[in-house]
Amino acid sequence: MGRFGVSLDDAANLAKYVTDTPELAMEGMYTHFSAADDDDMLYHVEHQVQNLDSVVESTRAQGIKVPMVHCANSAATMRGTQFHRDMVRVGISLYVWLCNLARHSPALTYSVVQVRPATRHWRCCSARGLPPSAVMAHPSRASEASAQGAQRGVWQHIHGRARRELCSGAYWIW
Amino acid sequence: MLCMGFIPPNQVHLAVHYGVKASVAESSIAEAYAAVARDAGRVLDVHVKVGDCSPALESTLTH
Repeated sequence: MGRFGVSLDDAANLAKYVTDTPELAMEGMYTHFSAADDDDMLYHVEHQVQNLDSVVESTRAQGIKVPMVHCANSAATMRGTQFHRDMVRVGISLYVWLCNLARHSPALTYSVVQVRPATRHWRCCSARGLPPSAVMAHPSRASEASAQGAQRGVWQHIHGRARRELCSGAYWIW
Repeated sequence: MLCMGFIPPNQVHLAVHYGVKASVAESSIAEAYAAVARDAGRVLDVHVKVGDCSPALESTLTH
């Protein structure tokens, strides 16, 4: 297995295992681009898509249903429909982040889309502990002393900032 | 809702409970997820994550 996903050779076997296991439901196959907004890495993105398509095709040829295929993150979504497949995963662009692709490609045209949050309240079902050093990324919270305090501070910082800037549509980089 | 990040097996019961879909990239993890879903009497929707199979790139990004 690769650090970023199952290897091409093992993907069909894993899909078969999921399909054959009653407690698991095979809903899709996907890959994730590491640098889709980098023009110098476009060859790799295209190669990765070809690999995904090849794996999906071979998996389906074995009679395994793959209901959904997806690979496009924000940058790949902007690059065009050749990367879209069954759905796209627009994440950071929802926060009005125009990736490097949009910044440095004058030929790329895009329109402003008005968005509003689908939800205003999130129920936290899991939280990971953060080391005290993690808070250093947020100067306004750097004075938090304890690890617990740091974790709470970061969480409040994230929540407050997201809520404030989603509602205002302001430029947000996290 | 699909969680694309790794969910430790000891926390996947939360995904099962809340109906969050999980991604899998290793059969041993899929087995662990299945065991948790079995104990809960539920079915966990999963997406198989395919790697880019570029050791050089992975090494570059790791460091």
